[in-house]
Amino acid sequence: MVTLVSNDNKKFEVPKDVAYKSVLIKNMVEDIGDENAEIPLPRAQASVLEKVIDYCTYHKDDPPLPAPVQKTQDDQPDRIRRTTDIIEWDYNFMNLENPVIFEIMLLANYLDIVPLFELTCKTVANKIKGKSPEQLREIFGIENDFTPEQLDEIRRENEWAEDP
Amino acid sequence: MIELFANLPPEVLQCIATFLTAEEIRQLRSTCTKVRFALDLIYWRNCVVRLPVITNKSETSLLESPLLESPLLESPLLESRQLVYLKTPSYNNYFWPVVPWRVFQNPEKYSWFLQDRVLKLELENGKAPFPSQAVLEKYPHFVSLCYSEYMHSLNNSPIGTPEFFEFNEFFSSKYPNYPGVIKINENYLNPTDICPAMSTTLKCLAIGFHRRDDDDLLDALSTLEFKNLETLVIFSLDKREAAADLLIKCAKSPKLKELSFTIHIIIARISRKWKLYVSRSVLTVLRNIPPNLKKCQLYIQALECQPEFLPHIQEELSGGLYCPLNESKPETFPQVTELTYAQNYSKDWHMSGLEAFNTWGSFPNAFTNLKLDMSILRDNYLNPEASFLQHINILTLNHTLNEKFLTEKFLFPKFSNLTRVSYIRSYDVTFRYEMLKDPELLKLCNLLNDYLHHLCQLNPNEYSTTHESLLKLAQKHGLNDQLYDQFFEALFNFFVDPTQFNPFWKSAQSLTENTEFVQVLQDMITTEITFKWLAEANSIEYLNFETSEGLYPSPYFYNLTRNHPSLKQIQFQCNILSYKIEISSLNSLFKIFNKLPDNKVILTQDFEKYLYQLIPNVPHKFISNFQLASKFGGFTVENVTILLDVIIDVGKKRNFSNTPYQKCYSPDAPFTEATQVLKECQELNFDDFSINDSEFDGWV
Repeated sequence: MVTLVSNDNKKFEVPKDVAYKSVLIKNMVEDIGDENAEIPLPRAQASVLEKVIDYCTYHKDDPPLPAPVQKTQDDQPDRIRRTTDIIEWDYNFMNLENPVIFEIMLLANYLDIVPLFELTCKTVANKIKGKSPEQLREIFGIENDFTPEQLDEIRRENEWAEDP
Repeated sequence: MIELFANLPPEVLQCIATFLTAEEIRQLRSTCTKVRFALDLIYWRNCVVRLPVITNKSETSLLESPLLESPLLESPLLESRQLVYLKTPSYNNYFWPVVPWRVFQNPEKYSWFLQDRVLKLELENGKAPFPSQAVLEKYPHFVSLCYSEYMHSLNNSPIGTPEFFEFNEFFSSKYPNYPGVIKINENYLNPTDICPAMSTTLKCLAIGFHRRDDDDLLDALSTLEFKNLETLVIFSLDKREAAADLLIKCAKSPKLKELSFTIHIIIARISRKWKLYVSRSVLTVLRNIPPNLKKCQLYIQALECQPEFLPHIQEELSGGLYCPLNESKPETFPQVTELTYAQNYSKDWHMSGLEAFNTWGSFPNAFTNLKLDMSILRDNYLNPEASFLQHINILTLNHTLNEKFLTEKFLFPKFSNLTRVSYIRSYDVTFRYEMLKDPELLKLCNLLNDYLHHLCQLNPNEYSTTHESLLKLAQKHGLNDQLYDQFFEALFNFFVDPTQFNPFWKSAQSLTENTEFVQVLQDMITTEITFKWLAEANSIEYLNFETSEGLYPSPYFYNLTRNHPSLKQIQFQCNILSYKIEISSLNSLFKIFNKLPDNKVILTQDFEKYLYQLIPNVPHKFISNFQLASKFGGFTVENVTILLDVIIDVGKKRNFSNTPYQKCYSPDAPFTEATQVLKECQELNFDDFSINDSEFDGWV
């Protein structure tokens, strides 16, 4: 078992195979060289860490993701990645308020849990798709802080982008 | 939740954007400034405007961005993103998401792009047409103008033409963060039309002069006032009054912080005395360097006037174009902060010119760099007592193999203020035992290899105890014949004191006529002498050692990596392998480095083992850059090159021995214990940490 300590000092006893879904935790345990040592996670709130542990527990037996393909100079520009390949459990797991999703996203990024981080990105991307800037501001609580000059620039840029 | 989304780190927003189409990213970028800024790169990376008719005129113009990594490929419109691609066969490394053709066809409509994105203008020579009418006065936000051209000799010039590679180096390393560069063929785009648009915005102006008709550009520039200019670079002032006028005018720019220019000193042997001349324009510039510059770089090249041009010089002297410095009063130039004395490779070059110049001009605040070819380190060129050598802070030593090199004595001056050395060793030969087909020579090479490794374990003061070991190794390799006694004795004595190399050199020459073997020994002699000299140079802190063809196990180099009173770091740059092989044997080559499926390099622990084996006895080392390049050379051959940069922490400031890799590969831990797999990491560009920069403070 690995003991994870959140920033509010709450301790979580987690099986090693679950905790090792995080590359950061795996490296920390190996660096310390003591599997029973407590791993402090100063960026992790207990409530968010709990959700992350839930995810890792469910996915503990998943095979590791294939290594990213090394890009060469001849590669074409990025292709769009799919957002529809979300399994039902993950879909339900992500049925959360936006702020919680962002917190999980940031923690997954910090802990280097690639599948969870990508899941949160896909979830957010799905919320973005098909929305106008005004709708996006409303959904994500974004303040429109463009100056009139910037708005003019965007307008001209959009003119160009829409050009056949 | 307010603003939580907009405050996500840029890399997270960019990851989200990888799941979005270009249109969706565009909508998202229109929500607020932070998101717009964070997604700028990923948006433009994937947004390309078609340039339908330029494919056969692709040299005309390209917008390039150092931020983007992959070249654009010719491809039909991608439905999902409204993308089209530009085929750029000549400059496939230069690209920008928006191609100028379309922009320039309708400059009114697309001027926003040029204004906001392109900051640097580079004019270069070319042969293809360009729609010049479209670009006029549409660049109000350019901050940098670089005017360059391929090398042309100055016809009718009494002096040689300087090396010009610094020009590109300046821009490639100095301003890596400029978001865009536009390159325009100057033949079809008159720079005079562009320059006025930059008079209030231009921050950096760099100009190189090669041709007489460059004066048109100078005339155009001289009519402008650059109110925002911060950096001015002028290569080769030479006799150009207009260039001097421009420099003096720009030097008055209120915001000017950096000034860099190159001058030539001409030396001529007249009546058995060395006479020193500079052009009047150079002298004017030197006397008008503005005060309070943050950086003022002066490159000085001393060029010898060949006897046949002496009348020409005399004629120009009488016309007042050149000034004789020998007869002028000494002058001081406190504004100069970096001074480089550079050798002109195309001509004979005499230190006498620099000595004489140094007695005329003094640069009390300059950090001084001397660039030399090692062939200078001979009696008739170098006066090791020359007073100006005491001002040198950086020495750049280029070492090419020279047949006559070992016929004369080396003279390494005692530089008292030398803190950095860049030693560039470029040979055509190296220790390639497998190339020696003579079995006797092969035995000798194997003996040398073993003996060198043995010496590498010791300090130089212990080399005198290795005579018996050498003889034992000779016996082991079946070389105990009396034929070799003299050679062994000379070999032993050479390493005890490499400066006494003559007996070793002579015995090696008498031993064989195999030129390759002789060259290898010649290489070894010169290299060991140089490293011994470096070991005794007690003020050196940083050494950049670059070798183009690998390195044999050099005892004095190993000594330098471990024991030196002042040396802090060494950057060891090595071209490990470069050879052609049959494609059928590629697999066997790759077995050395583990597998390379699909021609893509996969770095594994085997690779790293190999790299650490190259310099096994250097404990505090850190591989900073590794490149493997393979080039298809036809139907049957493949050229494979491996480049390696290693930082050696001689001062032991960084405890690399505690890193996981070093633990695995230190001499105490056999390679077989390696468990770590080398991971791909972000590229570190050590070129940004130039040993020639006055503010350089180590690579790590």
